[in-house]
Amino acid sequence: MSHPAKLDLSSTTKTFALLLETIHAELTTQIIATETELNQVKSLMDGAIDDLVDSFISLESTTRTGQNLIKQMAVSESDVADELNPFRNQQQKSKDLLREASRTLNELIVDAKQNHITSDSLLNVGKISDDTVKKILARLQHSSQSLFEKANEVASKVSAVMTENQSTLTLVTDEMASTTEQIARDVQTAVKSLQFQDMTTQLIAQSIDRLKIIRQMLNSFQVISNQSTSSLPMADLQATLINISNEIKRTGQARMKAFNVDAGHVELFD
Amino acid sequence: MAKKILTVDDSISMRQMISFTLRESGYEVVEAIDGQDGIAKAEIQTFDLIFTDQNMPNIDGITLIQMLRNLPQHEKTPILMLTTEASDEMKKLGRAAGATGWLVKPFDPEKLLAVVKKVLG
Repeated sequence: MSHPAKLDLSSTTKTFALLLETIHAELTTQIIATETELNQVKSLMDGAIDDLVDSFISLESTTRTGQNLIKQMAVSESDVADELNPFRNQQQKSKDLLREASRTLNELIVDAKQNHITSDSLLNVGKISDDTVKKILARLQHSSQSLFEKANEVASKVSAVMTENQSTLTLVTDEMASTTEQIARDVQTAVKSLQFQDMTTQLIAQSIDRLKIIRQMLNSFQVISNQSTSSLPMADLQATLINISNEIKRTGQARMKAFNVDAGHVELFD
Repeated sequence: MAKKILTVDDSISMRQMISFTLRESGYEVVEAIDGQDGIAKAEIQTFDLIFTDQNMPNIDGITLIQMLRNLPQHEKTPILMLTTEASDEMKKLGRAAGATGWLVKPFDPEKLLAVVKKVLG
């Protein structure tokens, strides 16, 4: 007569303990791997955000400096133009005087020829010969004409260069102002976008915290399962439970909340 | 003279972005890395406006506001909460502590500047 097989409690308990041990080991390995990966992601994102913030701030600052420099140049150019105005006026007066002198000399020569002014009349005044007077008059006429033409040429060149410079400067200033405005708008968009990335890294940090707690809990269960019921250290168990409870409470007061529909909302109290 | 603003946030990039936005508009900005640093700076300096995050290590935003309101020089300083928290319950707590307003992160630079302008009058 055969007896029903006896339930081997000891063997079952051992198998169960082994199973628990395997699960614990596997879970711990997985959690550690996840923690490591999340830490790597967090570190990469932190670095990327810092670099982006720095580069945007630097870019904005550089374009603003460039714009200010060009503004200063425009002001200087305008100052130069202002300073040149009296010179231009003076130049115009000189031109008029030269024109007048040239005309007078011409008249004098014509008059001298028509009235047959001899060297005697001039000699009486300046004690110089008729030929000398004629030569001086001719030279004066020639010099005044050359001077007049030269002054005119210089004035035209200065005017052309200044007009060209001012027009180029206006173009550059307008272009720079437009670029700076565009960059300022882009930076504003980036500021908002970077906040999302920053908040993502904070959420990752919180997930890492939570994984640490799960790992602690697993370790505690292992300690408990290794003890026989009779020798279960109640004080240790209680301390472990309090610790776990505190950690869970701490993650409840997370530094970051998940993104919500109220993002960007502004409310001023009375 | 530029208005002086204190910004309290434990996230360095968030502080940088708030400061950048404000400085670009001509405000002088002082940064504090958490509530404890914030109260330490507020004890020795006066500010025209204070921004604070809520969830920070050591001292949270609402506790910081309560502490600031106990300082004679900041009894009436406008204090704006800038946080990811958006529940009515938290807003009530903030208001009771003495907050002037509530802004939910992530902030819009233009809106932030508009609020600052309004609060500073």
